[in-house]
Amino acid sequence: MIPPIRLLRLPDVATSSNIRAVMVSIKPAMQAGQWLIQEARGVSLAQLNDGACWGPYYVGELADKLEQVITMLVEQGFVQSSAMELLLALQHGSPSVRARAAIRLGWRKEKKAVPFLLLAAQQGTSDICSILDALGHIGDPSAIPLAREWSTRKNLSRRRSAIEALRNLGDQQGLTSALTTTAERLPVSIRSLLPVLDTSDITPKVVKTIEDAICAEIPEKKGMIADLLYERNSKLSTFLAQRFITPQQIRQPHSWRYAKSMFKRAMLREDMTLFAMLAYTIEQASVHYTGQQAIVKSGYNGKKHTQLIFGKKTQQYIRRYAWRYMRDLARYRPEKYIKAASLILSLYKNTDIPTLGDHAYLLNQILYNNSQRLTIDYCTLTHRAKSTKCIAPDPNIHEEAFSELWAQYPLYYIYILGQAPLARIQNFALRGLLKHPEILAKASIEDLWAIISIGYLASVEQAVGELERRFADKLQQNKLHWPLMRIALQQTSPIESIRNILQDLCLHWLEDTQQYWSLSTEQVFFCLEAALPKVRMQAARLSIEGINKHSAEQRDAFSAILTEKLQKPEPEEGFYAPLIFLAKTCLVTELGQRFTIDELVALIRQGSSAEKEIAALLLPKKTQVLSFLGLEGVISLANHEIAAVRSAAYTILQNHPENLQQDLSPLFTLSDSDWPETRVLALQFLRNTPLEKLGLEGIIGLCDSARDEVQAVGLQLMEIHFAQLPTETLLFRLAEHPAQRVQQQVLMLIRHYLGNGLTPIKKIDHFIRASLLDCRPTRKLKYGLLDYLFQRSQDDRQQAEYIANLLSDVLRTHTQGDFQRIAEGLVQIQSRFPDIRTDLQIIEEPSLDYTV
Amino acid sequence: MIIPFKYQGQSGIISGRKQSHIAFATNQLREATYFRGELACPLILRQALSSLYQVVISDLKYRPRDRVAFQAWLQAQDQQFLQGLAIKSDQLRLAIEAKELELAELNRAKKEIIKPFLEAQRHYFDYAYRERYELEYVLDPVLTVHPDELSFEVFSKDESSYARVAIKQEGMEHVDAFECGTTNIDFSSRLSDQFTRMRSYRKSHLAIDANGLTITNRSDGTYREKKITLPDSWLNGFLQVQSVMTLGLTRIRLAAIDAFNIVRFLTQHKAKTSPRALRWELVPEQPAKIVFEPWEHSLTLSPCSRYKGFKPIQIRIWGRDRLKVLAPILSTISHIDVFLAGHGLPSIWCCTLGPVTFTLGLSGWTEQDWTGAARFELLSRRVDASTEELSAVYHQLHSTRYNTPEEIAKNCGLGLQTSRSALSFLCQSGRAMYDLQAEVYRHRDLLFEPFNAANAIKKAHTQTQNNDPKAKLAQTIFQSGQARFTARRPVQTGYKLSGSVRSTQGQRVRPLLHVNHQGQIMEATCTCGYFKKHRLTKGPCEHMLALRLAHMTKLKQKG
Repeated sequence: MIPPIRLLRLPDVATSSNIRAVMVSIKPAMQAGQWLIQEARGVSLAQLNDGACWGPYYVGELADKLEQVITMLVEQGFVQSSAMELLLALQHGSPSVRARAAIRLGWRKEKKAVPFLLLAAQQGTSDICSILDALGHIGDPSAIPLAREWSTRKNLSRRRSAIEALRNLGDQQGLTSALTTTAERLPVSIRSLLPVLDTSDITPKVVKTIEDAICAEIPEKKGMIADLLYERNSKLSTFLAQRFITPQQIRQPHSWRYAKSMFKRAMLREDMTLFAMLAYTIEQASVHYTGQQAIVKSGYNGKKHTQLIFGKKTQQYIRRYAWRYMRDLARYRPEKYIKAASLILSLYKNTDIPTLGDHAYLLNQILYNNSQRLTIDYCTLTHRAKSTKCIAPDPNIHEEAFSELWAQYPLYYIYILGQAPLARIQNFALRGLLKHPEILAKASIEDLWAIISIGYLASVEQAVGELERRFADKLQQNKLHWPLMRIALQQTSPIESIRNILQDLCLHWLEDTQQYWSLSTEQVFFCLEAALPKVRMQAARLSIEGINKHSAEQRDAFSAILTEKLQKPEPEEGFYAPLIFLAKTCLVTELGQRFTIDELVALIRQGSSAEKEIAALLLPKKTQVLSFLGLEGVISLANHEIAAVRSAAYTILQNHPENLQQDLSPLFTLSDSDWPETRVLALQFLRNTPLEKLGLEGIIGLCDSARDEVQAVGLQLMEIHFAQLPTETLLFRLAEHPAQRVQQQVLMLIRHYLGNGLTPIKKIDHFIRASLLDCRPTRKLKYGLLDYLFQRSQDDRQQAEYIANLLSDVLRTHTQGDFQRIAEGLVQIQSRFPDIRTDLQIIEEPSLDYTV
Repeated sequence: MIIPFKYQGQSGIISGRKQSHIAFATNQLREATYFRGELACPLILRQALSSLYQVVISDLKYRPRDRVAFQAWLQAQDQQFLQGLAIKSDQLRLAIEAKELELAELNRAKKEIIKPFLEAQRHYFDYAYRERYELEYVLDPVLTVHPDELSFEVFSKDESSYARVAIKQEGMEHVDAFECGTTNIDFSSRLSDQFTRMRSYRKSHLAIDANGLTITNRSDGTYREKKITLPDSWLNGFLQVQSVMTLGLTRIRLAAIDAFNIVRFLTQHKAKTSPRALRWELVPEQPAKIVFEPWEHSLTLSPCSRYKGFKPIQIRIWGRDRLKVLAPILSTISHIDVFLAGHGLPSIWCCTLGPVTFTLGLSGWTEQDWTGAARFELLSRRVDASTEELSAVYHQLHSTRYNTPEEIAKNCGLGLQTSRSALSFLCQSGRAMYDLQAEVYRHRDLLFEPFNAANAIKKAHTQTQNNDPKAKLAQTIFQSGQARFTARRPVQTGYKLSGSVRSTQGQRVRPLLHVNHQGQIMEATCTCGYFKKHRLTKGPCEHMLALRLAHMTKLKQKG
């Protein structure tokens, strides 16, 4: 039911009639479903004594007819009664009442109010900003002289209102003149760049030049520069002004007034992007910040005084002001409200929630203004649940502000889903999307990828579903949707679940469309460079069939491109793995023909990792490789840090065993390599080498190694060929080995093969000392050795004396077991050879056996 | 300070059938120093170099354990426990337990599958770590070639241990060629593995030159370059070691078995509570006794450790675990001379391994590296030497390479005190070193730039002014006439200086210095609070230094 519309005639309209008031209402006609438009007129709304009637009309045509009637009345000099109240308020004595009325008229774009506003502008100055703003919004050219007059004033707020009014009024000449005047406020360094600023596009070089110039200025001027740049409204200057908007910057006392100025300019221009940025940044800057005292100079009387800048009161006023502006947008410019709300929502990040929490006022107002379960605390501007019983939202209730507007412009849900990472915002937009599923079909491919890249699982599923539908549609027509697949292959995500979805999607598309893309070299290479490793690898596997079908020329061209790609540095570890796989699987011949041995060796020395791998693959296939590299060269390859290169060296060596049999020294070098598989290969060769070639030196060489497995092979060979080896030489050499496992063997050899007399004992002096003074000994070795020494000491006096000296050196050991044995041994020696003196003195007392 | 090292070749050992070639590549950016000869005692050198490498990589500073993973596990257990409490239904509990068992099984299977990968990954990290570690962190030894010996000096990673291996002329079968000088040598863990392959039945040729080993894959003339961020403390550490060596130290001789008993006990026991000191109980004409705290386990050392002092003393030293680096050389040691500076102060362990000497210098305790608060150079400086005197002493030492202070004084025509002072100054500016065992000063240029006496004096004075507040205070006290030198009493070991000093707070304190016949400070005490609290662990107090200044002035006046 449409309520009655009241219209009043303006007092200054010249007319002979005394009719001043009209009320238009809708009444049902005689026939059901039809309506009449009834007009009642009179001297006032209380005395309506004349009128007219139109109709009957059906519901469908009623709105148009009603508008026609209202237009007719407006042409006769009537205005709606609410506007009339505002016009009357313009003549009010209080400037603040006049200002509020002017603002409201500006929002309504009430053209009839222009003369009244111009009249009100003559009354005072404190409300002039609001009047200029309103005139700018209404856009009547008659306001240009007034705006031009104020555009050159010193006062920032008045100059700003006037310049923005000139912009809205479309007065290019006045605006240019005003901007020329205000440009003089810019520092010289920036002023000299104005031609660039006004004409150039955004390029990193230009941005850097201007930013450097701004950075060179003192920090106190940066706010003013940003505001003046934004005032110029070129693409580049606006971009540069946006860079200024950070919480740390805007809360500075010398910057805040300019941030506020930019905020007002954004609202006047209805620049939703900058408005959203500033509103969000102000909210961020307000967290845990209570303002800063600063000495400021008054714009009215020029006096200096201390004032709190960006204090809590200011913060909350601005935050509330932003929401009031949003509310007005919803009322007078509905689409702009939705745009602004979408932009604001897309700025909130997951990291904001711990710091902002319920203080995210704008976010909460947009999402929960209509909520029955939440309440707002106006002191702190926080939202909280009314009670613990109603914390969970009801999915059937629209809690967002102006839900009818969201329903009117549902495409913005797509924008939010693709931009806003916060879960609660995603939920809100997803609910909207599910109510308007048709909008998915209208979304561009880029929008859908944006949704996927945000990574909210439920939204991603929707977007992927839509992409699959589009891809399947094309496939049904036996065509490859290459643009879609091209984008899909480039996608990745830091979230594992999303990455898996993307991976599955790409793998499934690659498999379904193999017959199309695998025939095109360009498309194959694109697939091989997909963002996800598994996709790249699968592309390589699937492209084998296509490559095998290629002609010789095509394969040659393919290998040329592959070589060229491999020459570039690998963007990430394993990126070239699919290329190498392809090279190994089906392009060996073609690649082999492309390189000579010389080139392959050069690639191994200086190429990228991937090139080295390919070169290593091809090198063993060359027949003359060993003669070219020489055994030494192959050995150096066998110690290479890349496994594929080492593997190539093994293949070469295994292909030419006769060369190794001639000279064993490379094998000994390899047996001590840092790489286990190289050692295994060398040891395998050495195990099978006959003793005549290996010799005692060879076995000793292996035993001498610091590596356990090489030592083990040496000892094993020693056991095998023991009968043919000179045992005493072997013994003396092994006795110098520092490893305990070898020392055990040495003890065994000593027991059985050490020659008689003092000289052989002297030769193993180092071994005896090392064993007795080992801090981590094996008891078996130590005691075994001591027992052997005691036994030898009984042979002759020379040996006894030598051994007694050795034992004397270690007699003072504090290891009880050792001490007892050594002491007993010395007692034995001294009993047998009483003239030998040691540190152990035997006293013949029954209670005391010996003393040190 | 970033110090570049540039090596043309690589250090390494090639063991052939009859001979082995031990090659050390020298730093190309230092003076051309080389040495070629054949070793007479490769086994001893092998053990000494193993110990040296142990010192290089030793890092015993306390680092709290990383318990993040454990905390996470604990938290998960807590959560699981709380969740278990919340489950009321037995059926649900059983179902969860079954699932948990299944999960554990799956985890086990996963672990089994992933094992080869983890193994390979670990190998790779080990390899990468070793490569990077050597290129960026291992501080290559300083090598000095002298006419009578060849020495390698290193600092441990935690900068609390200093080691020096010196091979005397007798340790060489023959020397083919040499050029005296100081340089760095390329040193790596791989090299330390190769040391173990040195044998006496192969002729061991030692070559120290720029080429090192000719490496096949470096035949293109490329160099192996290291850029190590050399901490200033490293350089200062060298200087502090020299300062300690020139102090009057308490000397004890140990037999190899004593060292074995100490190291073996330390290997087998780990103190979990304080105190953890190694307490030396020295009674005149009695073998020294070592007590391991906190067990109070005592070791009476061999008769050769008889203490030659005149009064019984107890010295506690900390950071005893650092002595474990001696383990590889125990079998080759003939005796060890231990030099103790005092309670909580550094100790120097000079091991004689036949023709090779291994010197291990330990700071007061592990956490206090050589460059800690203790500023021993303050005690070692004597009378000021002029630029000409310093220059004369430097050039004399440079020409002879090593000499006693008496000889240098004679050759330069200077007084003994001046000569000692100049030598001490050269030690502290990194131009010379003191050989504690041979009791001679040796030329050793630690720094790259040529020596300039005037600059060195200026730099030292600036450093003292900036870095040593105690020295500055002492100067102020002395200049204001508040330091009074009261007595110089001759004692058996030298003389004792006593004095009365008014501190900056106005109180009068009585410092006492015990100086030996060589002019080295053996003992220093004071009645001030600073000394009572820290003794000498944080360096001398300003009163001792003021007394010393007063004494030096008197010496100068007497000529």
